[in-house]
Amino acid sequence: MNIEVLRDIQESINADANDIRALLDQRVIRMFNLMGGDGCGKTRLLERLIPKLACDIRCAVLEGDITTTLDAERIACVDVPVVQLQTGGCCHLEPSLIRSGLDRLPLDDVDVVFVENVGNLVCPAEFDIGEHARIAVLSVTEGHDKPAKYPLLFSRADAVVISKMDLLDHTNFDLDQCTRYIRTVNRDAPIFEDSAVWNFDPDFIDWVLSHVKVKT
Amino acid sequence: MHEFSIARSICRIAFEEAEKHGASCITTVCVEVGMMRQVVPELLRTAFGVASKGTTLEGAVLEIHSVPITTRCCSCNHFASCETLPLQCDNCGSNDVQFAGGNDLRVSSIRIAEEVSNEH
Repeated sequence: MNIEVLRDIQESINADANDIRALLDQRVIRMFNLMGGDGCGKTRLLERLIPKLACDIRCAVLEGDITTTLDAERIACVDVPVVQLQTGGCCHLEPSLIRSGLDRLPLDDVDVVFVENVGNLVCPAEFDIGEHARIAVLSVTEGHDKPAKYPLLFSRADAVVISKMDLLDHTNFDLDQCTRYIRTVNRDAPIFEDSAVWNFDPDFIDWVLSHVKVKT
Repeated sequence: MHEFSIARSICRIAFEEAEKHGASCITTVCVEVGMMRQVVPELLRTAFGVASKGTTLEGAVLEIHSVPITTRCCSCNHFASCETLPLQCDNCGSNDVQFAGGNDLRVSSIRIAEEVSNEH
């Protein structure tokens, strides 16, 4: 006998993600999900961004990695609460792991949680972790074709940061072509150019702050 | 290997549906997977085999129906259906192509073994 089901395979994970969002909303906390390939500069971006925001908002970080606490140790140097989430081989973060990380953060004293997802352009894009906004990071050394080759991640981004722009002249990265690829799957996300040796584009800081509500 | 997480979710839904219909043996689970999703059918089948081992789903067939990506050309409004995201309209050649569909990920149906009645 054939039984029609028509149920979203990820309904349970999405429900858990919605519960996390509701918990954060209740506490007036905003959560960002940073996604991008291995070595694209996600940790470096946070190391620079958090001190920039420090006078306006209180940040915390959940660091996702397969193993080691190296990234959490780097983030701890900018003096914010950080929890290293070790996936033990899993290539992405899921809501259950995020929940365990949030339980270990002093949420009463936090306005924003940045989650650095596992470095991977494939799997993290598949899972809602309860975030309010997704930032895709792509470095020029990875090549301008990545949004075409990994469209799901870029299609779901609320903003895209092109990092390591200071190396542009040393690569064959075609910024216009990259933008076209991103726009094929994502009409609206703002695209910010960045480099670890530059100051942040003020529009990027404004974009981040526009998502944040400071607790009163 | 996000396929294992997806396989576990498929099993959970199949168990719930079988229980709802009082079925003890599921023979087939049919899923729809959009080609925009980065799911490898062979890996999903392997993961389903592992996730279902030792359960009432063990031995069940996982039927994977791939749903093509659809795109719309913003220049000529041509809709196309394809296996990989096209970067150019195949009608007018414009680069202004928009992703329109192919993100599906759902259990569409299950097939259960007919129970043999003992009443006769």
